[in-house]
Amino acid sequence: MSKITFDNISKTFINRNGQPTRAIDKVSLEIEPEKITCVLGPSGCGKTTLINLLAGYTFPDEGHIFNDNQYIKGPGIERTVVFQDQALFLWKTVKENIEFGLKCQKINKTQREKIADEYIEKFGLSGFGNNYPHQLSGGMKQRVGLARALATRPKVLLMDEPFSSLDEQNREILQEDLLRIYYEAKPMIIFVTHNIEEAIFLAHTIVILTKRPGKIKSIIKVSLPSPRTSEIRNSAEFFQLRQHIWKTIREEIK
Amino acid sequence: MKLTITKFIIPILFILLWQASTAGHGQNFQILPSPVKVFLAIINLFREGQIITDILVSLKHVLIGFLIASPIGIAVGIVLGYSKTAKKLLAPLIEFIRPIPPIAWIPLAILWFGIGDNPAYFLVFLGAFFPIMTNAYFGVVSVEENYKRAALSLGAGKKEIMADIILPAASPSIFTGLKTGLGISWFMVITAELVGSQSGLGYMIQLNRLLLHTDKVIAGMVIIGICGYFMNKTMEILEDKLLPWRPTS
Repeated sequence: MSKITFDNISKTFINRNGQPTRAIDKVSLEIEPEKITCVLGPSGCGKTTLINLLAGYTFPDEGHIFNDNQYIKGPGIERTVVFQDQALFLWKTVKENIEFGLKCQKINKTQREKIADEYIEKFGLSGFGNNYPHQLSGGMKQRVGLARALATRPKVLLMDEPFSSLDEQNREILQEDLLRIYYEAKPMIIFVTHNIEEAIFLAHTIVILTKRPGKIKSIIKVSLPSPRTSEIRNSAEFFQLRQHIWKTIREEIK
Repeated sequence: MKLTITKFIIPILFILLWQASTAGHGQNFQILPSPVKVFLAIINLFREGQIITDILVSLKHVLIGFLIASPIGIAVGIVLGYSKTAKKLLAPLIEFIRPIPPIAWIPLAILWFGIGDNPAYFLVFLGAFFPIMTNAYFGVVSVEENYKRAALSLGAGKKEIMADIILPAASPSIFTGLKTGLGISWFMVITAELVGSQSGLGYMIQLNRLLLHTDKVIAGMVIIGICGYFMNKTMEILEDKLLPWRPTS
C-alpha cells in the first residue's frame, strides 16, 4: 500500500537572470494511501513543482520524499502522471496511446488490446479507438489521457490541473468519471487544481498552499459522504466548505 | 472550376508573350526558339527515343545518391540531436563543411571519380546529405519534454523513448528534410551531368548547346522541370500516406 511522505522539502529554481526563486519552502506532509488528496493554491504557488517532484522529474534541494519508505529516484510506472495538456502521443491512435504503458511492461499484444478495449469502453470512447488525437475534442482527449494513465493500474496517480482547460460541463462529467474509476481501483490520487469546487467534490483531504514560496497554509479534511454524486455540489455542507476555503485562499491573493 | 481557370491565366499569357517575341525574326531561332518549335522538339526527342534513356540515367543518379544520403543523413542527425557528446565531437567539422556549396566540390569529384556516373552520385549525396541531416537534428532536439515525461511515467525505457517517442515525433521534420534533400539532389544531378558526365539530362542539354540546337536545350529544360515536379508530388503523396496522424496536411 503506497504511502507518500514529504520530509521538510524545499526547492529553488534559478531563473534566466541567475536569480534564485524558491518554489517550495519546507513542506512536510503525509499523503494517505487509497485516498484523493487535492492540492489547492493561487497560481505560481509551486503546485506543479510538487507534482514534478512526486513524479521524479526533478528532485528537492533539501529534505526527502518517500514512497513506501523509499526515496523517489526518478519516474516510475507505479506513479503515472496526467498532464494539463494531456501530452497524448499524436502519432498513435487512441488505442495505441492507451496500450503504451502496457507495451512498456511487455504485456503481449492480445492481452494489451483486451485491456485497452476495456478502458475505451469505460471512458465512453467506443468507436474512436482508431482515431488520432487531432480528430478528438478537448474533453475526449482528456478521457484518453486518463484512460492511458489508468490502464496500467498505477498505485499512485498524479494529476496536474487535468481538467482546467475544459468547459464547465465536460469538467464535471470527467470529475464524476474519475471518481467512478477511483472507487473501482482505489489508487492514491494527488490532484493539483486551482478550482475550489473541484477540490471539494473530489478530495478526502485538501492541502492549501500559500503564495510563493509554497508552504502549507492549512489541511482540510472533507467529510462529505462517499460515493459522491453530483447532487453533493448543491448541499449546504459543500457551500459552507467553499466559503471557508475561499476565505483562506483570499488571504494569499491579496 | 473557377479556380482551375485562374491557375492557367499566367502560364498561358507567358507562352503567348514568348510566341509573340519570336515572331517575325525566324533567323534568330538559335537564341530563342518559339514555344511551338520547342514543343515540336520535345515530340521529336521522344520519337528518337534517346531522351528516355537520358531521363532514366538522371533519375538513376538522383535515386542512388539520394538513397545513400537519406539513411546516413537521418542517422547522423538523430545521433547529434540525441547525444551531447556526439554533438561536441562532430558539430565543428560538420559546421565547417556545411557552408561549402556542393558545386564547389565538382573539381574534386571529377578528380576522384573521373567522368561518368560516380561523380554524379557523389555530388547528389553531398547536396542531399546536409538538409536531411539538419532537419533530422532539429526534429530530435525539438521533441517536447512532456512527451518524454509522459512516456517515462508509463514505464518507458530508452528503447521505447527512441522508437515510440523521439523518432515519430521527429518524423515530420525528417520528412521535410527528405523533400528538401530530393529537390537539391535534382539540382545537383543536372549540374554534375553538365560538367562531369556522358549521359543524363544535364549532358543532353550541354551537348545540344554545343550543336546550337537551342530548341532541344529548352525542351530538355522543360523535361527537367516536369520530372522535378513529379518527384516533389510523389514525396507529398508519400508523406500523407506515412504520416496520417498530422492535423490537416
